[in-house]
Amino acid sequence: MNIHNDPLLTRIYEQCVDFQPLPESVYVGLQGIEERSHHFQTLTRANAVKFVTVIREGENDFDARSDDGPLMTFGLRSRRRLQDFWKQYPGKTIYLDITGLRHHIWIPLLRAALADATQSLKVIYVEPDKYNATLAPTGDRIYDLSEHTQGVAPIPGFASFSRVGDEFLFLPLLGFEGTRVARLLEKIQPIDDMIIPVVGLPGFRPEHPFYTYAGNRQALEETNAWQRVEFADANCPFSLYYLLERINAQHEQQYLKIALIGTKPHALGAVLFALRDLSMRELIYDHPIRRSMRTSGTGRLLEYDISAFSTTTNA
Amino acid sequence: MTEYNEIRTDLNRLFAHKAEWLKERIFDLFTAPDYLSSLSVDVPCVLEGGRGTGKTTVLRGLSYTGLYALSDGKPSTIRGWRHIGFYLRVDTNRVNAFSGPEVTEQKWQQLFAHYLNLVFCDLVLEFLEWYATATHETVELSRTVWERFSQSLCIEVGGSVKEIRTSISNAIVDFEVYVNNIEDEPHVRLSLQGAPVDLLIKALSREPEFKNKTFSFLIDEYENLNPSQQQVTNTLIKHASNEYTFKIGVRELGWKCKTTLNVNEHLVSPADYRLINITDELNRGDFAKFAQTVCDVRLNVLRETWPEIPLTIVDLFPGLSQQEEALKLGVGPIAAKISVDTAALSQTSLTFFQTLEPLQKYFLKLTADRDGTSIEKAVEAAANDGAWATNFDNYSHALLFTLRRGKRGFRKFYCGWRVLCLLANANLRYLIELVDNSIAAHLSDGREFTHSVSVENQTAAAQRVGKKNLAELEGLTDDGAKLTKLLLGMGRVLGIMAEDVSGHAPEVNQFKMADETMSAEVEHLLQNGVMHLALVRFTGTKVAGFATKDYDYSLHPIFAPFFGFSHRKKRKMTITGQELLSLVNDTPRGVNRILAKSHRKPSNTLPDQLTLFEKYFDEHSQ
Repeated sequence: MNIHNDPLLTRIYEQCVDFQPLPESVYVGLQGIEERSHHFQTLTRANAVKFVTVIREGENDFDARSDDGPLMTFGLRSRRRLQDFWKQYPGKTIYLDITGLRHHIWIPLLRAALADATQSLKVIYVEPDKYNATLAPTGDRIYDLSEHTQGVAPIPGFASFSRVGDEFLFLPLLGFEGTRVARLLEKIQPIDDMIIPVVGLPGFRPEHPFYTYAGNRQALEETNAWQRVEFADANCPFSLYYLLERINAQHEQQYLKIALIGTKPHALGAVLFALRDLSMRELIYDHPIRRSMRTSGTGRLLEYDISAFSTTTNA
Repeated sequence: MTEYNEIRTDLNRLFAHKAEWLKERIFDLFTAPDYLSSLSVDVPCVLEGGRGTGKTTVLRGLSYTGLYALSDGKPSTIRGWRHIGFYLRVDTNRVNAFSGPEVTEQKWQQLFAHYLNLVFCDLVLEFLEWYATATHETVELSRTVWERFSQSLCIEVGGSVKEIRTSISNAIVDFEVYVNNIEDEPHVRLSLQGAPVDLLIKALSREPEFKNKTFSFLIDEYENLNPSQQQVTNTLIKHASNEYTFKIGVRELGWKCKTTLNVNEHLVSPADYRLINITDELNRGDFAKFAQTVCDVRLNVLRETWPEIPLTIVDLFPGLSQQEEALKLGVGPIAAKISVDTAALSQTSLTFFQTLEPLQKYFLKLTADRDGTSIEKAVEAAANDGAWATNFDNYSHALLFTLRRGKRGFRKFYCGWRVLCLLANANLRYLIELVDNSIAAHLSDGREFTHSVSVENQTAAAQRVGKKNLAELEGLTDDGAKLTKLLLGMGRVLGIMAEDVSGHAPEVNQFKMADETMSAEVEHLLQNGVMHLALVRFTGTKVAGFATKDYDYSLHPIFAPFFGFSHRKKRKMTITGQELLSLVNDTPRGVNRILAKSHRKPSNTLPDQLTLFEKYFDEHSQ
């Protein structure tokens, strides 16, 4: 596939204030612990845009409330309940803001929204201005992004029980925290030459790919996976999608385990890719608990046209 | 340089740190440990050991693919096998799906039991397909058996292994949909725990090909199951039919629940299973010899391309005697400066002094300084003290840590095959890392295989391996950051104590908990430390109990070269849970607090290998 001929359906807004949702659309988000996730609260409440705020993120369910509606709970391991969530807004343009939402909430929501072909789905992501550095006792923690992880467990609705032998391809989408990939290597136990790490390049900032290498140095070195690193734009889910397609084509019939430990746009690209064939593609996630001051400031806002992309790739 | 790269590639290939990285070579390089015979019995066995102790290799060796590879792939040998093993690694990303508030714990157990039935039966059927391919003999079970089996497993009926496997695959997909939408309560039929497995194995046992053979399910990484899932599997272990049994691979303390689904029914060793602790077994035997065989097998392969490689790994790793090491650490010039006033000594004492080795003179000087007396008085006292030689022996190894106190460069050497084996503490992965790192440093210095690895390269490699495993610790467990801090704190305490031995007990490198009752946090920290090989525990000299407090603990000896303390199991100190936690919560102050108990002062001069942590150990920067 020639990447230059593929659509890149991303609109980039240098500042959040430049972005306004379409009239009569629905905007779903969560004001999380990071400053950058607060932006949607300042969006103009005009043009009949309905704002749906996720109030609570449980492990297996979440609470959400629209501007004027009651608080409602939706189970994550329930196709019916997730569809109920979206059925409230038939035919609308949906903005799913993943900036503040945790993976285990937005991924099932995205999947359910994609199943409803009547909606136009756009995903919003806001980059942070910067990640906060920390004093790390050991070399693999340049950035103190997670307090701890809850351990490897399936994203709700994405559990896979098929028997997979040793011969699978492990694709960690790398972030800055080397301990996370180290832990996954321990749990997943891929064969060393079956690991293809993905680094976000270009990064949100020019120096980020270097931090990714430094943070993951030990795991990359021990497994010799540094020899097989692939790159995709850190803020572009579609570049990641195309990259995964290319890797998949090169390793035909290979079962893929994709670890979502990098940027959220990469996670988005991986989810879109995995959804095409869940019998051969598995998502791996370690459920980190985010540190409250892990990032500061608000950077660019990115709008991804998922419905248009899905239509194109279906064609 | 090309040759260097080529040999490095070969080394990497053969001295891979993890069994799974050896791929098909795992069986070519297989070395049977002595305890293997204990596993090959018809009773359930639990193989307990930390990561890197060889559980996976042994369990895979007992699997039918392992047995086949170990018998050089000869189909004729299959009929002679007494055991047929089915290997299964517990996959965290699968088993962790079985929890949540949507259904009761009991329902999750029923779902998990059904999942196990599907997986176990598929493993057996996969074997039958393999058997047919390997021997060109098809095992045909009757249509009635297949029907009964299909009904028992709640899958579509099939008339052949292939059809049944397809049915199982379909059932797994249905089951996936069910669990992924469990709140919707879709319909699913669940099989009875163990029933289809019993039925299938009994049917197979009646076939002439498998008469008098025992089938084993080899379950690796049992610690990945939660306690509720372990209850389900424990029930299978306890009540399995005579035709099959279980071999379990689990980390120390990873078997979190030992009851069956009946909480009053416990699995007890040896009545219900045979417990094999790998570290104990290998230490009881001759680990150095076993490790040598493991490495020599790899060298044999390398020698096909590189004939200059020595016959045995031991030749590559020369050690140092105590005196040699003392001289290398500079005791000569120190001892040369220790002079006595000959007129002040009796002839006997003078002769005694003149015949002393440099390290002994250094010991005398330290004794004199400690007691605030003259060297002559110390010599007189020593010459007339029948126990002096024993006293020196007690301190001689500890003295080596003090010779280069506060200086740049190596402050202590860790070298020689026996020492490397002690550092590994019966952990093959650690040993292979030490060997691989040492040889890599040796080759990168431009040296040949015809020369042995220098003690400097061995020591630097040991420090690197310690540092690497310290850094990895954080990634091994969700509480890894706490363990890293505990290790950094306790390692620094032991390092400072090792360098400041005068007037103190020598080689203190273990600790015992003082508290009668320990907080859950301390208990968890210690257990996690043992499970992930930050700590080693052993039963105390007085009580061989089972509570956490009844054990003595030490840092794993693999960390000794990095922090600079003795790798030998020697003396212990007593600390409280609060002191232990202070090492985690405020490492610099925690270190000072424990040092103050033995009237030692903190040291500002970190060994070279620890300088990266300078800020971390500086209490003013925290």
